[in-house]
Amino acid sequence: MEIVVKSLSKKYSNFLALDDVSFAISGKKCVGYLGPNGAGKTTTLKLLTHLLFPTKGDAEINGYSVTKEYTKALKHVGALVENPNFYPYLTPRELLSQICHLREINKRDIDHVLELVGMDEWKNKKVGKFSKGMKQRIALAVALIGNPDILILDEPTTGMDPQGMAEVRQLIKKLKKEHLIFMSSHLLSEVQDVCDEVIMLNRGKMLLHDKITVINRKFVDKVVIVEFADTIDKAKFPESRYIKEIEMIDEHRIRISISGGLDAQAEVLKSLISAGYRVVSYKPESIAIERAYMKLIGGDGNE
Amino acid sequence: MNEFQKMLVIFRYQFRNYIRGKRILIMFLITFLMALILGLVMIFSVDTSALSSLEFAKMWLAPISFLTVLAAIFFAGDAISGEFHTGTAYYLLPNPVRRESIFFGKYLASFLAALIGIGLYWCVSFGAILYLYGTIKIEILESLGLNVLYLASIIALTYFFSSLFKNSTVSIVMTFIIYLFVFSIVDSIAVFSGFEPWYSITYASQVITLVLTPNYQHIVKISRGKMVFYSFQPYIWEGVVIMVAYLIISTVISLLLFVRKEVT
Repeated sequence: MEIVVKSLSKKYSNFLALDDVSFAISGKKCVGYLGPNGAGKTTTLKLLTHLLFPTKGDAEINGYSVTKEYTKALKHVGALVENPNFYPYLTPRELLSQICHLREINKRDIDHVLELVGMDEWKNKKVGKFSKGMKQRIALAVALIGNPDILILDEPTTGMDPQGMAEVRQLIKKLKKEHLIFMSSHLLSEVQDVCDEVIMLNRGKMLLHDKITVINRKFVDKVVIVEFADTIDKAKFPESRYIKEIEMIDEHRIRISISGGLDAQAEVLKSLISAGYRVVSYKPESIAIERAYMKLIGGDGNE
Repeated sequence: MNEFQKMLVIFRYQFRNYIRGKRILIMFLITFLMALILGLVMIFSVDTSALSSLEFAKMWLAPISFLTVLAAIFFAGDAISGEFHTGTAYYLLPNPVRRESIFFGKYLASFLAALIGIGLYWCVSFGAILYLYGTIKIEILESLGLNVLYLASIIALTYFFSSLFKNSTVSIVMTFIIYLFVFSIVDSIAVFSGFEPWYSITYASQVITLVLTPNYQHIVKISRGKMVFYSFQPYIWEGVVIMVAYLIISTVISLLLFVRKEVT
């Protein structure tokens, strides 16, 4: 299972939506595709699913060109792009049944997939009057049916309630053990939570492609938030050469500015525990991916 | 599964969506009302015993071209544009199926749904003719055949208009205007110019009822003072050629447009 993007460009009239983007992803993992509105995320996903045609370059899925052999390229791909709509007088069961026929897969999974996305109760109702969130769940079911090797998901939690979002994230975490998932999102916490790799994009250009673990190390936060079980006194804090500044948030929490990287953070934590403080939580003020995003894209102004 | 079988899958589900929708009910209602009104007019103002079965059929089938156009607009007007406008393209297109198969599957579904729509009128026609004359002449069956051909070509033309637009409402309204006004104006130009409108599909559609007229004149020239008016009636073969040409050309162009159409 592999997606290879080769110098992909897409121009709409005078607007260059995607500018010579190349990357390759493979194996069982989840790759997040991040960028502000208008960065070219959805354009890329549409090019990968043959909804758009590239101005230059090509993409291959499992070795097949998306432009020249799209029926072979899409054979083992489940896709959820933008906000799909459905034929209003068909039921979720019938919609999935049609997809099963087209992808030549067994229909016995339909009930299971509808249960997985929480739509089994509605499987025989016509989709015409479904809410946006319900349609998004059906769209996810369409992508998942037949257990395809590769999943291309465009902001899969859009339009869902908080519970639905959490369920979908759990589902993606489970699915990435057996699938290659390429997922666009603008929710940094979501990407940090579920993805193994990140590709960042801005103004049609690729800015970064790295593993989350590497990003976590590269973009270390200099500020940590510490929460204690007991009330604390700032004056009695242990001395440490790594602590630049301490600020009280409330009687149980403090914000510490640290000079140094992950080692320095570990030393500060060690000194707090040695001094007898009962630490409940010790975490960076912001997530690494957010810092990477702000550093690479933030200054450019989000459209 | 080969592409032909995939086309049949598309057809099956599209057709199911059409026959469960409100449009088919509206189509039935319009057809029923037309048959009722025409039936009442004929009962109260026409002496059917003085008419031959072909003359009766010709009168009875007068609104069939309009019904055919209406059915085409109902079931094909937004067949392509609707995919892009409503977002169903995001569901259907990212699948391992050629766009050509999707196109023909949809075309077949539109054709069959529209055929059912006008089929009701034909059923009533056959019933009335059998009741009054006891037999169905071959010319009436030929008329049905020509109507089916007209339906196929007018749906192909409607698919062409539908492929041009991305907004389903615009494509339906534009197609409606083109069929009911533009083609009528184009046809009427022939009355003054004396140039046969062989390029018009609505002109060709006259053969549906002309086949019921044993001897008719191809051109009728009427002089009123210095003014000369022309009335053209296509030969049967000519009507068939025009409709087949529309069917082939419209299908090829709309297929090319659909295959290259992007979901932006």
